[in-house]
Amino acid sequence: MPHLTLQLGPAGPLLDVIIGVSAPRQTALRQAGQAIPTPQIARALIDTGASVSAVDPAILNVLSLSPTGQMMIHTPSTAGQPHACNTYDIHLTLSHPALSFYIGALPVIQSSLHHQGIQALIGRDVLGNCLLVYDGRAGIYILGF
Amino acid sequence: MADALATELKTYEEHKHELLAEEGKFVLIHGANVLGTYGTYEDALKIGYEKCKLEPFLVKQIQAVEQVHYFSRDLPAECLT
Repeated sequence: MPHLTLQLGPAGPLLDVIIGVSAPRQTALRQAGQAIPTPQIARALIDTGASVSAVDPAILNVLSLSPTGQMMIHTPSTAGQPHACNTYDIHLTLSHPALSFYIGALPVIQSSLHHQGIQALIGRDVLGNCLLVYDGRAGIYILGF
Repeated sequence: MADALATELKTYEEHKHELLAEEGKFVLIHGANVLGTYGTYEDALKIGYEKCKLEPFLVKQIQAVEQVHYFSRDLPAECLT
């Protein structure tokens, strides 16, 4: 499997991803004669504790997205009671000069993450298609896709 | 934004019993209308944009018991309805 070997930093397994409107929305925008928002580069944390991926509202706002779904989520502060959360359809590219992985339509939730120095969480919905090896002793992680 | 799909979610609840015959598939809803069910999220989304253009629509997996997703870190309340 093609893979990347990347350095672990103090904040964990980070990588840059490209986030844009989903492929079907791109088609709809084009047919409506509207401009397709420029895809955004986002600093993302690979988070095995997130069952779905999340994106900072600053990114979603630039892409002028409206919700197209809703899911129930639990966090440590929801106190055992799941909460409904809107989802937005995006395309996601895990990008590296040596390798890239593209998902044309991915539902994500919105969450303010910028105060943590990141703009996206890559959750297990994406990791389900990847190989992830976390080698803390060597200070590296391996991501294959 | 929490109410953006209120009509579509109400429609889902109203039709849920009959939709459960196709549990696991993804339903496409626009306003009070169920437009179809599809085998994948991508297919439902594609048809949604083809039929509804840029108007609001809902894509939702049909489930008898709603799947709950987990985050080990807290998320700000803005996400939550």
